Formats: sequence, C-alpha cells, structure tokens
Amino acid sequence: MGERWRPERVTALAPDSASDVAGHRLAIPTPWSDVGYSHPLLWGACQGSGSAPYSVAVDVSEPSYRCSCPSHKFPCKHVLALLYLWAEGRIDEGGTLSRFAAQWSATRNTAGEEKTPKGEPTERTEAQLAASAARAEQREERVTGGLAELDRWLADQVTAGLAHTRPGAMGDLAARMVDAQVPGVAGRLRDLNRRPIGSRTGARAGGAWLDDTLAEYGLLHLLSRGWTRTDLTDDLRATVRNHIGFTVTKDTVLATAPVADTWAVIGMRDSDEEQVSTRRVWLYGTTTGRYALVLFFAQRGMPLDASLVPGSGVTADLHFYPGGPALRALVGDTRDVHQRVRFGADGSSVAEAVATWRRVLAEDPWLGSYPAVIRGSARLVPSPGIADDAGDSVRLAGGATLSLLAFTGGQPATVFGELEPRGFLPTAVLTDDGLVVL
Amino acid sequence: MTFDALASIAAVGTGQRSSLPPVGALSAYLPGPGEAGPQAIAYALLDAAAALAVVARGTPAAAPGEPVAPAPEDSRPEPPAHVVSLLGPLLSDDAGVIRLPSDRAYVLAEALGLVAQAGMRLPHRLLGTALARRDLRASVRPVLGARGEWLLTQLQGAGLDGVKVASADPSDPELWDAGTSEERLAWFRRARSVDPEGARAAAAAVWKESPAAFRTELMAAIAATVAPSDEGFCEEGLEDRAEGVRVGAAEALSRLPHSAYVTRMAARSRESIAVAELEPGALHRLLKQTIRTLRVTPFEPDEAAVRDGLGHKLSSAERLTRLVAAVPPASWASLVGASAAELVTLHQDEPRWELGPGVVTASLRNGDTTTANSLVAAGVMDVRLVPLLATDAILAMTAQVPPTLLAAVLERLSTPWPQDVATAVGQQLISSNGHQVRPEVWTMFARATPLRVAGGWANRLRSLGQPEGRVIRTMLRDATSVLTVRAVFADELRPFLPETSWQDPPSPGGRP
Repeated sequence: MGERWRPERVTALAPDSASDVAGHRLAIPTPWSDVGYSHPLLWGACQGSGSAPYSVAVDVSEPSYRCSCPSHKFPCKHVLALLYLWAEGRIDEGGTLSRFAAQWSATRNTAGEEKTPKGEPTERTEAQLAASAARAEQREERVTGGLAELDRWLADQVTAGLAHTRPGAMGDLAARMVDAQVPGVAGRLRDLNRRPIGSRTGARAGGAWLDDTLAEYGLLHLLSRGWTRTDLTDDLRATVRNHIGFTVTKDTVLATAPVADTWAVIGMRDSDEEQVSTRRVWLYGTTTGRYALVLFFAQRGMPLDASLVPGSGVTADLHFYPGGPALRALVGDTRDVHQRVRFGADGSSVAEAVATWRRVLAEDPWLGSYPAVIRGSARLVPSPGIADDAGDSVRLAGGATLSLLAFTGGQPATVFGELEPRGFLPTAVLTDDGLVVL
Repeated sequence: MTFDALASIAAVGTGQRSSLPPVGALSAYLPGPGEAGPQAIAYALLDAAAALAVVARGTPAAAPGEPVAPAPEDSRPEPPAHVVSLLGPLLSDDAGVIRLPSDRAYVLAEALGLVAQAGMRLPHRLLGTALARRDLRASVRPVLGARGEWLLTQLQGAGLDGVKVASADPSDPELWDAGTSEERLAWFRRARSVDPEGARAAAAAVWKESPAAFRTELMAAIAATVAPSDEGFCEEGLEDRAEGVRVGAAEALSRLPHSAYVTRMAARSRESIAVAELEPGALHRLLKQTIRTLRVTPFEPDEAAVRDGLGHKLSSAERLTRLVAAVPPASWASLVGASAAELVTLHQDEPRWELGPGVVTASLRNGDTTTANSLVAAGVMDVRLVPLLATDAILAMTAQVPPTLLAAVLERLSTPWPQDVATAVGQQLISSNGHQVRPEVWTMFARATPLRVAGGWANRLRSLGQPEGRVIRTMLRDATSVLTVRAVFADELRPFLPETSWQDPPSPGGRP
C-alpha cells in the first residue's frame, strides 16, 4: 500500500483556491457512495446537482485523475474532495473497484504502452544546427541593440532629471525591450512602472519612489554594462544572461553534475504575470544544507505542477542552472517522496544570514532575495522583527509575519524564509514533527 | 555622499552639472570636475547609484528593541480537524466555501460561537488570519485563547491593529455639550439606558434652543425607553411646536397604560366604539346564540382631542386608528365588553370601519402577545405582529400570506427559527421550487434553520437537482452550501456542546 497523502498535498494540487475550498466543502461523507482504495487507485461517486452521481477516479501514484463532471477545472472539486477524504483517513483500503475507475485505469495503461519512450535525444541535421546558430547570433545582436538603447535612455533620464519622468515612459521602454528580446529587463521595467509615486506633499514627497527608481536604474545600467564586458567570469556572464532573459535548455541543465540529497520543501509562492503563472518553490538540502529554487510555469488559469508540496520532501538529484550563486535548479532523478520530512537545522544568527546575503549579492547584484534559516524569537513590539540570542535583529516583512508570531508565540524557533532588502520574509518553521509552512 | 544625496541630484538632473560631488571610495572611479561631458556624468551617477544600491540592498532593515515575554500556554483545546479546515477559508473570506459574503459572515460568526460554547479556541495557525480582520473581532475574541490574546496585545502595542482613530465614546459627557448632533444623540441614547432621569433632565435643559429635528429624535429616544416618570415631560411634548415631537410624545404616552393620556383616549374610545346585541332571529333563539355587532361612531375632535394628536388634519379613519392604537388591548373587555381581537371580527353595519391596524399597533406598543396571537387566529395577517407570535401563529401566517410577503414575515423572526417553522418554509421552497417566493427566503432559510436539522435539509435541497431558472438555481446552490457547512460545524462540535445548545430557543410568543 502506498503512503497516504497529507491534506497539504491535496491543497497544492488544486488549480485555484476556489476549487480547493469547494473540495474541502465536499469532503464530507454525505454526498459520497461506492468509495474505495486499492493502491494506487482511489475511486468514488459523488452526488452532485444532477440526477446521476459523478464518477471519480484518481491514480495517487502520479497523480492523475478523471471525473465525469463537466467542470473545466482540472482537477475538479470532486477529485479534490475524494483526495481530502482519503488523506484525512476517511477512506480505507478496500471497496469494490468501480466500473468507471476500472475502465479509466485500463485506458491509461493501454495509452501508456503506446507512448514513445521519453528522453531520447532528437537527432538534428546540420542545416537545423546552422539555422539555430544563426538565430542565436541574431538574438545576441538584438539584445546588444536593445541594451544600448536602454543605457542611452537611462542616461537621458538622469540628465533631464527623474522628476521629469513622463508617466508611462517605462512601460513604453519595456515594450521595446520585449521587441529586442530582453524579457528580463522588460519585466523589471514593468515592475518599476507599477510602483506608486506616493504622496506629493511633505519634505520627502515621492522619496521612496525616487530611491527605488534610481536604484533600479543603476542596476539596469550595471546589467547593460555587464553585457558589453568581455572580461567577466563564466559564472558572472551566465548570471548576466539569466537576468537579461536568456534561457538555458533543460538538457543543458540536466547535463550538469547532480547534487543528491533529501530536499525539504521550505516555501512556495505563486504569482501571475500577464498570461503566465509562476510557482517558486524553495528547497533545502537536509544533508548538504544547500538551498535551491525550482520554478514551474503554466498558462494562466491552468494548474501548476504540484509535485513539490511545502512541508514535504523529496530524495532526488538536483541540477543547478549555470551562474552564481547556484540557486535555480531542476529536479532530476527522484528516488523517494516523503509526505513529511524530519531533519535538524540549527539555524544561523542574524549576522550570519546577512553575511551570506551580502556574499550572494556580490555574486549576483540583481538578485531579489535569498533563502535563510534564522534561529530567533519573533516579536511585533516595538517593531516587527526576529532577534537572535546575540540581540541582533532583522525586520520581519511579508504576509506571514502574523502567522509566525501566532505559531511561535514569541518562543525561539528555527525559521525558514527569504532575506531581502526589506527584511526577512518567513515561510516556514521547523518543529519536532518537521516543517510547518506558514 | 549618501544615496539620498545622489537621488536628489538625479531628481533634478545632471544636465546642468559639470561634475558630481565626491562619492566616498567611488570617487576614484568617477570623472572629476571638468573631465567629462553631460552624458559621462550621467553614466557616472548611474555607476555610483548601482554601487550604493547594492550596498543598501545588502543591509536589510533591522528591528531594534528589547525582547518581549513569550505567550503563556493555552489550556483550551483546538476544534476537530474538519472544523479547522472549514474555519480557515471562512476566516480568509474565501468565496470557495460559500459564495455570498454575508452568508460567510453569518456562518463564521455562528461557528465561532459554537467553538466558544465548546470551550475551544482557534488553532495557532489561524490566529494571524483571524486577527488581521478587525470586522471579526467581536466573534473572534472569545476563541482567541491565551496565544491569541498575547498576539492581539502585540498588535496593539505595535500600532498595527487597524485604524487607531476610534469613534467617539458615547459615554463621554463632553459629547453632549460639544459633539455633533449625531454624537449628542448617541450620548443621549446611551444615557437613557443608564440614567433615564438624568438624560431627560439634560434634554429638558437644552429643549428650547434645540432645532425641531433634534427634539424629534430626542423624543423618539424617550418613547423607546419611556417610563412613568417621563409622563410629565411627554405631556408637555404634546404641545410642542414641532409635529414630530408631538407624535413622538403621543406614542410615548400610549406606552404607559396608566397615564392620563391613555385614560383620555380610553374615554374617547368608549364614546366612539360600542358593542350592541341585536334582536335574535328564530334560528339564533333555537341555538341560544346572541348576535353582537360593533357600532363605530367617528367623532369630531374638540380642543383636548386636538392636543392629544387627534386633530382636524386627520381623516375619520386615521383618527380612529390613532385612538385605538393608544388604548391597551387588554382594556377593551372592560371598555366595550369585547376583546381587542373581536373589534376586528365583530359584525359592523356599513360603512365598516377598519380597526385592525390600530389594534396591531396597540399590541406592539404594549407587548401584548395574547392579543397578537388572537389577531392572527382571527385572520389579521399583519407582519408587524411576528415578533409577538407563538409558533402556531407564525405557521398560520407563513401559510396564509401571499408568497411574495413570506420574506417580510421571516425577516422579523429571530434566529434560529423554531424547527416547525423551518420545516414549513423548507417545504414551501421545495414544493414550488422557490419560484413564487422572493429569493432572499432561500438565504433566510439556510441561515435560520436550526443546526440539528441543517444537514438533512442540505441533502433535501441537493436532491432537487437543477430546477428551471438561473436565479433559483443560484439561490438553491447558495442555500445548500450554507446548510452543508453549518451542518458540518454542528456535527463535529456537537459532542463538546452542552445539550441546551441543541434545543430550540423559546419562540417569541412564549411557546417552545
């Protein structure tokens, strides 16, 4: 019998919060009949608003699922509800396999046999290789032109004075950067364009906007300079290319040396940018003590990969993207999945965490944040912060601050999170039972 | 030079400068005075900005201050896991569980009440969400536990507990002297509940210089809490120059059964309304029955009647209604030899005078449940009577009012409804698929059905499938959601609740 999921894993599978809570709502025995479980299949029938109940089947090993309801959500609330019932121990091993589940399982097995084996490298002809090289060269030329325009624009802004910045100017430039195939710069400009100018009265009217804008202009200028420099180390060059928006193929990353460990999922954050949803998952190597960031992308509205659930762990090889500090990674060979991973981590002092942050900033000045694990006591008075035994403190920021206070009650705790210029954004707390995600 | 100074130069622009001021250790890398043109100076500023920005980014903000004492241990247990899993999205005001915000607020408040009754507290991981919503503070406070109270103290100490500008304290005596009209009224209403005599004296002291609208509000507040000691003040109010005050004074006095005003109105009633026995016919003689009839004689108001609010501006019917409304229903038996309900049912010769509205008003003013229930039994379906009715009368009214008026009846009932009422309303909704009632009846039904039968009704509604009509389908789905979630809370928490929590509250009419 396979390991029963934890409810958090079901939550992570939901395509959106509405589906999740709808699934929660249906996770009561009343509307369900003919439920059963025989690893890896889970099945049941849920009485919906129609006369015939909806048939639901789930293969919990992958997971994959099927429901006869007409919902366009995937997975639908019926699948989620059935999984919640199972995860909460309300469905035991046994039951008569439903016809629906049996047919679905058989269809999948047949389809699986017909699949072409994955991972076979595709042979490319010389002509294809030449065309690919030409496209790459063409892109580099466009990027060079785009970044030169960016640098001139930045100088013009500083010469004329930021107080005279035309509303929407950054948005226009971002669009031109997209045309120049510099998506990383376009994204930073769009972010900057969204920041409010703030109050127009007072001695420091618009002060925060001015500081942020000049700092970002400086970093963009630095990026532009980095692109033109020929004396950069390979790591720094890779870092510059990452921030400009060059992608590295999966095969290239998977070809790098693996880092094997049992990786604890210490945080997860989803965001939507135009038509793309992004899931950022932070991992912590329970033996190596390394951090990793795994990104998942999906078309907006479609479910994001839910294989890495906060609080769980995975024994796997990670392959890190080139560039320093090595942070972004791909999950390679996976040997085991743990619903809950128990490990020890002493946590660093505030000073050690800040020192690490400074070191990685020296390697990658454009980095937005970096993981940290701090041992300290959280408090709100006189200002929100976490202080270590030495009395050093860092400001707590982000939406999980109250949850951290609520969970720890001001007692010393080992807290995972992200360190960034605003302070420390807590994501999880280490307990005797494992990680508790905030 | 600091980053701020650099930002100030950038704000104005480097176009007019021949150089940058020294930027600490960076100066060696930047052009000196007269060494470069405007573009080079701009690039130099950007270089310096980049360097200083990275330095600033490498110094996350600190949070200086002394350590605070950790939270004390919690002694109360957490609710069952399923309750917690539903409380989470409700506290986050997530629309997934229940669609309508008002439904979510209702169900959450009820659930938190149950958790409190069960002697439980919110789990620590939900405290952050719960305390972030100030609108829930009253419901959340009883289930905070020791950890939650500690966290609330922290929030308040850090000045992070929402808006600090509290509304004016209605008990502040300064408000009466210097507040706005609204604040003064708030003070007065509160003062009437604490020290009615003192409040009345305060009103009397400013009465003459107060505008009519303010005096009207004061008199309405007195009428709502009138006591025999207010009679003199109200009698004077009958002669006030503002009509609103006069009406309020009359209403206040009619709530005092032994006031001179009521005595005067009763005397007028005796002159205008009488019960007579007709000569019986053969059949009636055989059955030993008497024929009683009501004789109503509209009266012309004299000066005293005008002072009592029965002036010439009123029609005869309006004057009769005011007259009857001022007489306590229980007095009619001694006044005319018929009960208040009989005033409505007894035969009248044409033209027939409608006395029902006056009797209903009098019942409400006197809190007369007996008369209210008798009126419904006599066929008076006035929804104003609902708060005074026993379950049988409520059932009669829900069955007899037109479907479009059902909501008006139900909205006057306190929740939870008696189970019989919930059953009747539920059956009405199911039998007509809700097509004839106003949509809000679904909402009221879902919220007010007693907890112990909520699950059963959720299943029955679910079995209705997809009735015709988009609105009905939406209301049905919403009601089913609310009932389902309420049932889950009830089922999970029931083992921890005192048995009394599961009994129907006594209906307002006094019958269980």
